[in-house]
Amino acid sequence: MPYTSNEILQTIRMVEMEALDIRTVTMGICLLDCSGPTVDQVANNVYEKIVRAAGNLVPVATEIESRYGIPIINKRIAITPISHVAAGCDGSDYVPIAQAIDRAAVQVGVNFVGGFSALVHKGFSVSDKKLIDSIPQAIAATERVNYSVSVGSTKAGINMDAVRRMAEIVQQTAQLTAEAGGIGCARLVVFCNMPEDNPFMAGAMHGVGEPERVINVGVSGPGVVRYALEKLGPEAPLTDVCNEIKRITYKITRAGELVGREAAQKLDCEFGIIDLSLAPTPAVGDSVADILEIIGVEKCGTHGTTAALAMLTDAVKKGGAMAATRVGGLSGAFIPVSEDAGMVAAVKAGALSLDKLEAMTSVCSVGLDMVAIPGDTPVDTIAGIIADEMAIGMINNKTTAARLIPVPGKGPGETVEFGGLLGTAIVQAVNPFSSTGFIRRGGTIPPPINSLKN
Amino acid sequence: MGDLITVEQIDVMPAGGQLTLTPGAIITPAARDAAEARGITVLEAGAAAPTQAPTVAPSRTAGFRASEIPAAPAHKNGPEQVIVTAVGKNRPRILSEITSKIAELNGNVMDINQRILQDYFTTIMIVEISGITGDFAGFKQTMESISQPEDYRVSVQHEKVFQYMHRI
Repeated sequence: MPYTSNEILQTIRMVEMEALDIRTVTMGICLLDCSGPTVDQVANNVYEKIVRAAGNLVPVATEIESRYGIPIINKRIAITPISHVAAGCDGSDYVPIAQAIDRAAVQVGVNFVGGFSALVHKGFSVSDKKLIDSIPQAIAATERVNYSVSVGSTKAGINMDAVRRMAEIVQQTAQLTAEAGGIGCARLVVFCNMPEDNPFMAGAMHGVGEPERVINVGVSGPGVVRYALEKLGPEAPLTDVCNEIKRITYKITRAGELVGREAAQKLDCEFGIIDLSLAPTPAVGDSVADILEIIGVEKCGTHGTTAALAMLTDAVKKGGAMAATRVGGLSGAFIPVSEDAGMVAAVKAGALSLDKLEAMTSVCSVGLDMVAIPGDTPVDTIAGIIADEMAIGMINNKTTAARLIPVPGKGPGETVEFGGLLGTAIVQAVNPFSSTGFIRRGGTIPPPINSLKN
Repeated sequence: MGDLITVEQIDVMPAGGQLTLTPGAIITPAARDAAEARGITVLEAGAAAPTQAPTVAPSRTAGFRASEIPAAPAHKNGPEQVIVTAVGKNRPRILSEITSKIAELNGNVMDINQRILQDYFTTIMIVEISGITGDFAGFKQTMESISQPEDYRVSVQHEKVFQYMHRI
């Protein structure tokens, strides 16, 4: 036999018992040819372009899924930042465009479209302002559109006016979707060093340097890594742990590579990148926190967690880089708090605080993700949390993001149920002391000097 | 660019009617569902007469436009093979049930490996499917439905996934 029975059974076990899946096949679509003089015309153009370009995405992905026996959980679309696409049109807000994107998503059968975005890390254009002002209304009026704003980069520094404005937008969005626990904020993310080819939501977009259409793939597999480490046993030295993680992520990523190549060929577009992220789901066992606990920290968040996470993230990249033709996107370990059952348990046990989470994001992708905070958190405090996270990204030359959910009417320790892939969140306490003096100054934090590294 | 068929176009058509797609037309999955719900028959461009079937991939998958998808590239490393795996509680006749179904579909068993551990068996077969009746999707569906999961379970996967995952 060309394969040993152990190899064949390993693949089958990974899928059936260890939750191996392709987390997302995301088609990037360039919308730069969709501009128009009125907002309605832009909305029509955008709708038509998305439906034409991605009409076959879902059927093709479904067929690949059946051919190789590996589930593809999400089929998604990333589009050119709408602040570029809509820049030429009149109209005071872009809500009709968001609604058109929502209709297109339903039409082609994808669960999310990302790219209702603006890049303001160095300042606002008129269109950027209109887009950002539209976000709360647009989120309330749509179900499948995702919103992201780049407010900082290592080259440009941090636009603190944008940080403060985004804190207001987060708070307004939570209010507008209050009856569902502020869930609108789950589709809104603020970035530093935003990647242009990220296939994961809520931050997916199709950058202006990208081709006309492209397929990007996000792999998954915390459950598979966890199982492999369990088998390795608690006595194995960390060197062996790293090697095992590399071996297993190589295999996971190869499955993604196969799916990406095949999808790109069948959809007649380019194959872009594989995002080497360990993306958890609320399913028991499919958790990044569980991996850290198997490596040896009693509860995720205790001392040693940051070091273990740094090692894990690096090993995942090393294993994946060899398996993929091109790597991109976020490529790190995701720790979306509500979506990872182990993280939720760690918060519940009091092991994982907001401060520790922030420290962990300095060694892994992708920031404070799906963190529920009290609904009455002042805007300046939200801005302070975002600014801290952006600073970690700016100084360390990496992508960081903040997806915060101020849950209306809830305080620290209370639980909020978002449902489905978004999971359950426990509201985390924020620091009671004010950030107002710092935030109210406005202006820009200049980009760092890069030669004096410490 | 070809025609674009969305739910809106389907909604204005008379129920129970017929929609013939022009070559290169795109029909969205939602439109296909709407057509089905209203009893509208969708005819593909140059709809495949039964005689020209085997060149292209699945037509059975819902919403899948066989005519738009290029056929898989010619296999450089020999014929197209799938891995058929069956796992379950051991009893007589299992192997014969599986192999006779493969024979019925005109598959060609290239290699076989079976292990029995206590009461359970695992059978792995490499089956060449270049000459099968119908397409891959049909083969997979028929094979996977020969048994109930509580008896034994059959799964069919294209060989390439193992090649990618286990060979550098």
